[in-house]
Amino acid sequence: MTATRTVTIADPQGLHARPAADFVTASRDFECDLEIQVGDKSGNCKSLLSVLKLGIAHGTLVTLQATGTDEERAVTELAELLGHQVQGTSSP
Amino acid sequence: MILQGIPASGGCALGPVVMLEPAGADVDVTARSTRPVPESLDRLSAAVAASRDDIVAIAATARERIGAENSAIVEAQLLVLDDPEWLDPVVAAIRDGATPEGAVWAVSQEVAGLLAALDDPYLAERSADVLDVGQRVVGHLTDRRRAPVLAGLEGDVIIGAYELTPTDTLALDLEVVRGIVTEVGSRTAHAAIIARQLGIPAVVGASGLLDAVCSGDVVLVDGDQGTCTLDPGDAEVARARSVAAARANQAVIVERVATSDGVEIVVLANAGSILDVERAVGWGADGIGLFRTEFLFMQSEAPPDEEEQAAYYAAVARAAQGRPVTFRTLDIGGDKPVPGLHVEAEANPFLGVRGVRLTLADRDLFAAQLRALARTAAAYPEISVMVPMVSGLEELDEVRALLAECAGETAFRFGTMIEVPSAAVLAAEVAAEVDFLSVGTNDLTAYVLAADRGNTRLDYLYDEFHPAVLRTLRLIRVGAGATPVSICGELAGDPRALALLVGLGYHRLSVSGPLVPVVKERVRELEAAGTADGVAAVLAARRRTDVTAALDLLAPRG
Repeated sequence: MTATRTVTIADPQGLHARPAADFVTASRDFECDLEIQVGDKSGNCKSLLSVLKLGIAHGTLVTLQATGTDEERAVTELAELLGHQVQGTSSP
Repeated sequence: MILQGIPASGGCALGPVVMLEPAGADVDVTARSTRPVPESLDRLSAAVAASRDDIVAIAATARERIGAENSAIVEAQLLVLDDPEWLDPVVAAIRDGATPEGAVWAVSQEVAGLLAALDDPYLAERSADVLDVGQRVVGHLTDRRRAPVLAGLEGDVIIGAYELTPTDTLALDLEVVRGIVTEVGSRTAHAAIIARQLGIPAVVGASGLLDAVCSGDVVLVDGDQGTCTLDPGDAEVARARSVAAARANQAVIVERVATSDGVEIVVLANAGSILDVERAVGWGADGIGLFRTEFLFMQSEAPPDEEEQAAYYAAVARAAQGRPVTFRTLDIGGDKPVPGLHVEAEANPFLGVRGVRLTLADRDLFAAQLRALARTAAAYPEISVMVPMVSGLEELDEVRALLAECAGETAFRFGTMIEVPSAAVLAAEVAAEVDFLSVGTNDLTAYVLAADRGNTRLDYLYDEFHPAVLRTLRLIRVGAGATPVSICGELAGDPRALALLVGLGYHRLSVSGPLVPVVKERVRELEAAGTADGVAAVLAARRRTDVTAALDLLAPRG
């Protein structure tokens, strides 16, 4: 019930400002719990304030982790929104 | 009593002040609720829902008044309203026994403080959003909302506040608000920018305002001096009235005007937003002689794409109601950074990659703007486009080649700014290649005299009436020949220069909106044929003092 994807942020602005708002709005369309991890910090994908506080720059490697019903679709679509996928795993 | 602040928007305004109380300021965040927790949570839900309705409505107003690109400022607040980082601690505090208003205010302040401490301008802005949202929800919880206060005002009033939030500023009723004064803030604060756009005199950063002034007190706001005078004396009131009258009470002349001997002078306005255009139409402008496209780029967090630009330019053209609008392509450089655009820091930005030099170096950006303008011109053929900072024919060739590639060479009437001295010297050659010229006297003056307008130590040197500047204006006018040429710098709206400019053959003047009625009135009083001797004397001037003497010959009689 958990799926993860690791991507590098493609947007030149990083995950900031408008891209962050778009990302949060997209995350809220999924039912599963969604977490975004950068280094040893993590945030709630459905919270703009939480995502902004991570200060994610262009080119940063982030991992999306989804737990819940639509987890696979969530990480796939959100990873696509963020940028270039590096690796992905999913466990039943 | 006089409070000294920062002049944020010019002009004088006198009237009773209405103080906007921050809705959260007197909330006791330590108070324990005497009501059951479920009831408190219900009240919270209702207040959040009411706040959401407010914000949706304000966003719609914002789209109308300042364009879709700026309404994003407001829409970001919707995301805060149901953000778990904000909402969860509020709910937890209520479950813990806090009052709903206490919980909302305490959490809003804490979250805003955390964001502000991150030392990132974008996050600092979001910090203001969190406080704005918190205040709105508290307002609903305590039944002390600001919006009805703002909407229910009558007569002429001055708005006073600790600071004006973005949504407060958008909610101002322009029919009654004559001035703004705030305790904190800077010239670049949202409220200050909007006040300038709207032509409302404003003073920000007037320390001591909240202690000294209560609602109902009569104050004089002087947006030129940056002062707020409590209970002003007769002399001060008289002075304020004359400034205000000169600016505002001039009768609007809607029709085109001509000098007393029949020379038609087109009086256009400079604008930077849709609202500016609407106001300019209200002031009787014959069109927009300079529309600065930077504003759209400054307000967005990423450069707007072709679609967004096309929609915005079309809205600008619509606002002009059939009058001609001249769009200036992006005029930015190292001294005017734009969010989301990487502009290299330069040792000397004033002589660096600015205007067309920058847009030619970023073809994708420039092509998107040209395509968006071409699409606008297809629907609104009365628009035209000019490029800033052109220094010679080579740049024009490049712009034309790009235009041919992305939109077709005849997509719109195409012109160039003349502000670089080399382009002034080559005015005849440049004019032969374009549909029109527009002289930017501010930059032209600075470049002719090698003096930065903003450098106060060079105040004595930066002077649009310097003989060399005035002779350059003649050089351009003669070079332009039959090609239409307008003036769009401060000089165009300077009453001392009108007779001279008309005498030199400049028959299209683009001035700041509020000056349009004044300039039109003066045009009617002027006799073009009578300017020849004065113009000759000005052009013969060897020193600045000779110019002053020669201008007297051009001064209106009686």
